Amino acid sequence: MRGGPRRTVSLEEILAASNGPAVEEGMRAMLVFSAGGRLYAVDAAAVERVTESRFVAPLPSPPRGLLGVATVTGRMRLVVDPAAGGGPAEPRRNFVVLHGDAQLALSADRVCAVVTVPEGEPARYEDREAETLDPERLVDL
Amino acid sequence: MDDSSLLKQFVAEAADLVESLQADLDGLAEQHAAGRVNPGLLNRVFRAAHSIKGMAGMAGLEEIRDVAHRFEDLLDEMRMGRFRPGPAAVAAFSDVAEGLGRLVAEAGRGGGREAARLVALVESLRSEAPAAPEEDPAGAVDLDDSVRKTLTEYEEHRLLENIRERRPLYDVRVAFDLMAFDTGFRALNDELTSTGEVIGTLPGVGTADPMQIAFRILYATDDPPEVVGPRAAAHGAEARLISHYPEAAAAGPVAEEETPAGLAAPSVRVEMLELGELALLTQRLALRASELISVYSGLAPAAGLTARQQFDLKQQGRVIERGFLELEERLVDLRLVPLGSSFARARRLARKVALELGREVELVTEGDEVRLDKAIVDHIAEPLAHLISNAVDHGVEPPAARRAAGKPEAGRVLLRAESSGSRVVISVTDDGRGLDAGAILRAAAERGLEVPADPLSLIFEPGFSTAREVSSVSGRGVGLDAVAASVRAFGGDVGVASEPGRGSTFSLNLPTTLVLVSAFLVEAGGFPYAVDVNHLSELGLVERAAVSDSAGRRTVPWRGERLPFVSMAEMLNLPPRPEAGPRLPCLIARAGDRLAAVAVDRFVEERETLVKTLGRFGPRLKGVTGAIDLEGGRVALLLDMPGLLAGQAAP
Repeated sequence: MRGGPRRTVSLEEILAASNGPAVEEGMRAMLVFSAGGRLYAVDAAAVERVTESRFVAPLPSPPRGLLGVATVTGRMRLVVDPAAGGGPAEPRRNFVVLHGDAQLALSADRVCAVVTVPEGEPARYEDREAETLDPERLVDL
Repeated sequence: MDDSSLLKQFVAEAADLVESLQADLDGLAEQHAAGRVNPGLLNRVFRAAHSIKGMAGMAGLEEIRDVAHRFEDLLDEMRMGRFRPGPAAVAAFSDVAEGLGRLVAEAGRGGGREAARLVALVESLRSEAPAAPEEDPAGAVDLDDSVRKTLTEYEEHRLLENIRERRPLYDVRVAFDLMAFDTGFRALNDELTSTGEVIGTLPGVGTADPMQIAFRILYATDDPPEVVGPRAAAHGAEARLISHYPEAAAAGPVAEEETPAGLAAPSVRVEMLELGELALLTQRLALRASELISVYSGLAPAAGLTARQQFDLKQQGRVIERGFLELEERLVDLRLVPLGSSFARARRLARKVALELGREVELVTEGDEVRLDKAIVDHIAEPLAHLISNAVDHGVEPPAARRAAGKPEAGRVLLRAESSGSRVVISVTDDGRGLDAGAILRAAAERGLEVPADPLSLIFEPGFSTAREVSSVSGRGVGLDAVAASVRAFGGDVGVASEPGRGSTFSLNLPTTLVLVSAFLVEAGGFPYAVDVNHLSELGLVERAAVSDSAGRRTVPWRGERLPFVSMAEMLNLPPRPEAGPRLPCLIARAGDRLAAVAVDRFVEERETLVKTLGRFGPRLKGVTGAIDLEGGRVALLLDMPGLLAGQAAP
């Protein structure tokens, strides 16, 4: 189905997607969100949940892009601001909480949609291309 | 094949077997300490000893064959339940395997003394743990005598072991088509083995269909009939529960006291992570209960409760809080494991290093029974290996130097663990040459380093102990800064004491558990932070005007001396806060043998609390060792105070 039509699905489908690929072969579901005026996309299967942001404890001399530590569903999460670039990380409205033992949450202004795209292609939302994030490379330590 | 080729082949194959035997024995020791040894693992250990015996016999190496044969016999006795070793005996198994490794490495070059020592060791183990009578299972299992008689001795023993553990037993009956019975049987057997233990497979009663073959499988599992039934049915089999244990007997606490070797107490395996999660859940509930009680107490006067009723409400609240605290402590306690296995590995390492260096070193351990969080035990494996290797390599002198110094040729290394409240101190003491304090001071002067009250502690400084020239004069190897960093990363600390010509002691001061600490909560830069109370000397108020600044180094007077002074907010790179009153709340914090005054916004309270991990990247974050849940969804980071202070400019 490479090059097939893109579709937008509701946020409720995130969990379904995270429990197993609910997309056709050759496609993958990406969660698109905005931060600092830019669009980012992360594999929906890597997303545990989306929550409103909450208290973040600042780290001493934090590595670049790391906002601090927050507690979500009983686990401590390292909150990453993908839009920090070389500047300081900023608190935003939402957390995109990721699966896995890295215990990461992405700081997001707004969650836009979950879109399915052919594997290897970037996700797009409202005619804008989203930067694909690799959770393994989000923290530079 | 000529004799030398046969010998080479033996050495290569037997060395591999000994290596896997040692790894399996480490696993066996851990399972033994946890209370249930997997019979499959024990069988593998037994088979390894058996194979070494056979191979040595083929190669004509009688001494190795004899040691392996006796070890195999002992393991067979253990398999059959006639030998129930204690922790010390299980740890000694590793010594036997290690000795076998040495004999194999020197095969054909004579190893009579070592072989004789190993034979004596095996025989002493056998006599230390005499046979224990098997429990009579009469009435516990609904199994025909005719079937019982067909069980092998080993199967009979496994049946009795499972009965003793009060484990549900099932008679699984199945019939397969002759043409495809092997695949069907394998699938069923794999399923049962992965979910429990297949004690034995017996021929089944003949079926009406001559093209079918029937089996009966005696199966033990912790799962109840409603789980086992569908599991068997998925393979066309029927499972019938045949064990019936009296309720009272299942819960009898006396059995635990009298259980030999701690092998038979009924138990279930729980993942470490699961235990941590349970403890954290308990703490969350405790926080919620505390908040709820606080709300009720606030409403009580308006609700028209009498003074007595309000008192009762508070009392009940305290009972609930105490209950949660006890539950939390007991859950945390389940994470603790004895250090015996780690010490056994350290013994092996010391012997290996000594062998490589041609030294004679005796490693003595004390406190094998001291318990520590499993995560810490895993974490300190490498630092401990560093210290042991260093003690043997650089601490203990070569035999000639020892003779010249009037010491026995064999060096002695003592590995000791001692429990003290919520901390455990593990020390490595050698009777070697000791550290050269003069050389350390000279090296510090060359580097322009300020000398602390204990100059020896400089060897833990980054870039100090690893310096080649200092290593050669101080007599210590590389990596002590890495040892210190690794231990400090989770709230521990390191220390050293030494006497020239008499030896050195390196100590690791560790928290008993990573999840429960006594933490002191403060606010700094408007945020809550926590400090392990073991890193605090005391609390105090310091006059703001008394802070003096000399060339960027701030100090404050404290009990007759001047301590380095730092603001926690500055140390953590937090935005500055408006200055408050004339007196600054200060933590008088320890960093090694030094003290420093750390100013905070305000003191909050001390509490015994669970510490959560920060995930895979946590250990790489500087200055923090974990995080603590607070009321209202807030989080306090637990600071690595020694590490943070070490990172500050020298006072």
